[in-house]
Amino acid sequence: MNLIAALSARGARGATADTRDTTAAVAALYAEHALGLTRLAQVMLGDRAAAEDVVHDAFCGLCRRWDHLADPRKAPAYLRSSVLNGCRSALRRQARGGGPVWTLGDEALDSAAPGADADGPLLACEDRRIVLAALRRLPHRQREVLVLRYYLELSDAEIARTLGIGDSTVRSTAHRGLAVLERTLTGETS
Amino acid sequence: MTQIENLLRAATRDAAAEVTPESIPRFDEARLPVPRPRLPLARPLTPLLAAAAVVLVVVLSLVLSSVLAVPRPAPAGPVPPIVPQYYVALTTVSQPTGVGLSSAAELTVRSTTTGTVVARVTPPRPYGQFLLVDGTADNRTFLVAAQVWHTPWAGAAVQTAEPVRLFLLHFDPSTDRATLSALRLPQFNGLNLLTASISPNGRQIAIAYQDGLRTWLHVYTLPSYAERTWTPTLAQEGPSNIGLGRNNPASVAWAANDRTISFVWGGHGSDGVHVFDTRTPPGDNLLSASRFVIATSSYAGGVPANSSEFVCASDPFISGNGAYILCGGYVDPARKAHPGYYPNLPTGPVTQGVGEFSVRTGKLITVLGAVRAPVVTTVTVPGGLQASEEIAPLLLWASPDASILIGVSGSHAFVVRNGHRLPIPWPASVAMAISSPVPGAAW
Repeated sequence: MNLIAALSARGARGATADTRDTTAAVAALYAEHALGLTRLAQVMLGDRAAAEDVVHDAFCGLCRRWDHLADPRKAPAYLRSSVLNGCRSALRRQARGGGPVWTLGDEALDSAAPGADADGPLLACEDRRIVLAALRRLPHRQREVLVLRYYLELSDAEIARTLGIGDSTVRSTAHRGLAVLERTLTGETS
Repeated sequence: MTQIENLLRAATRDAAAEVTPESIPRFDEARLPVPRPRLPLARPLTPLLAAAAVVLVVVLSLVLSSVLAVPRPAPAGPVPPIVPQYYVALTTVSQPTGVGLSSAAELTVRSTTTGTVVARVTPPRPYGQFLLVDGTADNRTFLVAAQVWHTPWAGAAVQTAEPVRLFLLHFDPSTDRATLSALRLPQFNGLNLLTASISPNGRQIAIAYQDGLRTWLHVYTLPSYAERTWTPTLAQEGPSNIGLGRNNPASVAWAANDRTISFVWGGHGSDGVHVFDTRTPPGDNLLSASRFVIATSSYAGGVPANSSEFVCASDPFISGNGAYILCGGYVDPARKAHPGYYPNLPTGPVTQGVGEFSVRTGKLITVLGAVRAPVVTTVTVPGGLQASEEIAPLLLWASPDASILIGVSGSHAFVVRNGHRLPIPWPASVAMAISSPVPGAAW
């Protein structure tokens, strides 16, 4: 059954829907969106276990608030916002020192063989892992805007709706984030 | 589409591709909470209930704060709540003799945000002073070195020759008590011990020391005290050292994986920061199995392989995530034209801050918390003579991703976050360890 149609039909039955309906609807949403949301969280956090936790929490939140969801078609957008909020909280926990392990450096070290040519053609700005490291050090809002724009390829209007900010704020935040990234990756010190 | 935008798109897609469809956990109904049906009256009453709850919380908090309030010193600046709560500092105690030697006769556990002392520790007999302190990731367990000190007025040469023992300090914030327990490691002669540091999980101790002209790196794993030892080949020896001074744990620093270390090597042409995997089989392979990352100026006159304009004022060390080498210092264009030891200090204002180098490429990525100020200050020394003194930022602590830093410049300490500096209190009694270029303080 088409998911949105099923959810709309369930919504039409209103508050009489039972727990089984809710679980089935959330399960259908999970099947359709868990992969994409986990990938989004992975991009934001760089930590697989933390990403899965954030996504699980988002579906739990959706389940709890199911009866408050006026339009089931908005469930995917609700989940995306929940995941972004969850990532923000996880990053705050990481910054306080209680967060998960930091895997980026291990990978970088493992792939950097002893004696590798430090002046080789692979400059810092061309190294995708360094790009990700720089991205993850941006302020939360800039990071979210850049990930939504360049990973999910959302329009500025969609990003604005997801983050609850204005279109012009999206544009200025993206501009600032890109400028910081460029300075970081090209080694400019100003 | 700019190059940065293309890189960003490719990098985020790479990261996302690490999550494959088959790796997604199956949907588990049992882990979902039971949805709560909304009562018919809930919708119209919701705003009123919310308002009542807010009023209740405000009233309760006011009542509780008036009952439980304990006067506390206010923080000196807008300190972010994300720095570790405590640090342990080597602390100078005034000598009754009035002799002005700097001696860390005590350790103090202090609040990072206020600088206030929450616990004090003195060395157990027969030890008389502390030499160094290094922290683990839990902000409760610290490695300290204590030294016998019979003749405090006899001069540094005698002091450094005294025996040194390593201890673990554990701080319990629920009781504000700090206790020392001796490690079952050899007792070192203070002339031979270069530095010691503890891994983030508190289970490994790295010790650098010299035996004659040879320099050794030992790693002991607790609680078994299993030992691994590395040294350069004899052909690579000669006048050498680990660290730009002594007793600075940053000279041999651990990454957060408790496996990778960086060490600052001085001597025989490969002066600079090396990254080393402590799973490497023991042997005379310390330099051959390590990876040279960045050059530092050295007293031995080494020639850096890739010099930058950034001058490290103290030992550079690896960030917890293993991606960066970090050090406090300043930008001096003249250094690039004079690789190796260069004694001249820049005149006039220069960019100061924390240099962040890529472990992968060795290149300077950025200067964090940058300010523009002179590094040379004229001071009056005893006898009324004028002398030039270098005052540059010294990096003392960094979060695993280097997004938050703690440093000190002269008598002022600061936190760097999001590229901005915020002041934090810094007591004048925090001591420099003997022969160390940085204050003895660890988070």
